[in-house]
Amino acid sequence: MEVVKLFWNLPCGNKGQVFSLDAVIAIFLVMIVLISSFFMVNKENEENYELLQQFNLGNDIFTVLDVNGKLNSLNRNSIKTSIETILPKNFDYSFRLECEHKIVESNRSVSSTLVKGEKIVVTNNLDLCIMRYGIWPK
Amino acid sequence: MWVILLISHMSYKKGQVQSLDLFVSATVFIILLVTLILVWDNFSKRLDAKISYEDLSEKAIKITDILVETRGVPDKWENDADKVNVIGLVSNDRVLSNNKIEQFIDMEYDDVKKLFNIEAYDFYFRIIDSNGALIQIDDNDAELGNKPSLSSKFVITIQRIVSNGGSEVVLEFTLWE
Repeated sequence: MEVVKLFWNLPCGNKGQVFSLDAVIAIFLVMIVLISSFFMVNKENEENYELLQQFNLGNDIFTVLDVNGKLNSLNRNSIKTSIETILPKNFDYSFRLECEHKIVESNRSVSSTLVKGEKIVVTNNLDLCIMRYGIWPK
Repeated sequence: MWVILLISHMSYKKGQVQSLDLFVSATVFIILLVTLILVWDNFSKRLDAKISYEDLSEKAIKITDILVETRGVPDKWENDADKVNVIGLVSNDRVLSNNKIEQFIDMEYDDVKKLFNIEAYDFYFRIIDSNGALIQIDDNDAELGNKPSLSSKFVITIQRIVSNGGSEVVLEFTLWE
């Protein structure tokens, strides 16, 4: 035992071990930083493009419905049918159309959705309304 | 006697311990270095793929934005399609112009790629109704370009909802490599 102890306490002793431990820790740290930064960058960009697509989809649908006069009826069921005809099946939606004398609203609240938008709508009866909407994947 | 024996034993084993230590540390270091290089190489490839895909997505999104939100440059480019600088397919925001679409689907595929600044990629454009059927513009199918194949490296499809003659249709633009 004494002899073994003596070996490890030689002038050049366990210097190599310290170097290998240092290299192991350094490479381990580099790998951790590399892996985590890669996943962080990946995640952020995926979310951005997804949100942009959802934003465009919502904006398109409600602009087109307004242009085609499908919001003029101020009837909840009629507006819901128009939206469901063109909205991709893998998306869900909510809306709230606030006019001077009437509020038309879907079952779900707009405030609970992630991607929201709003636009001003003028109906055939010259009612000035604000359409607030939300779109999200099912 | 014991001291002499120990010294001779130490001097005999000293070189072995140092080489064993060097061998172990060098092996561990090489294993880690090779792992790091492999991980780095893998990540670089994935990052390159990600950058290409993002470039493709960005271009597809920008092109569809211009197609459905602008009239193009010049404003009435459909009267002289040879002088078009920017292609836009609407007469008003999200309202398709049949004349512009008619001119657009008659254009040369390579010319359109040049105008969109997507010479490195291929594209497929079509307009479908809510049932997925191609719409007809002046007895021609509203489509242009090449469909992606199964061997395509990256494919991105952007769908925009637009108005055509009072009904809602889907403008679909697929960019692929």
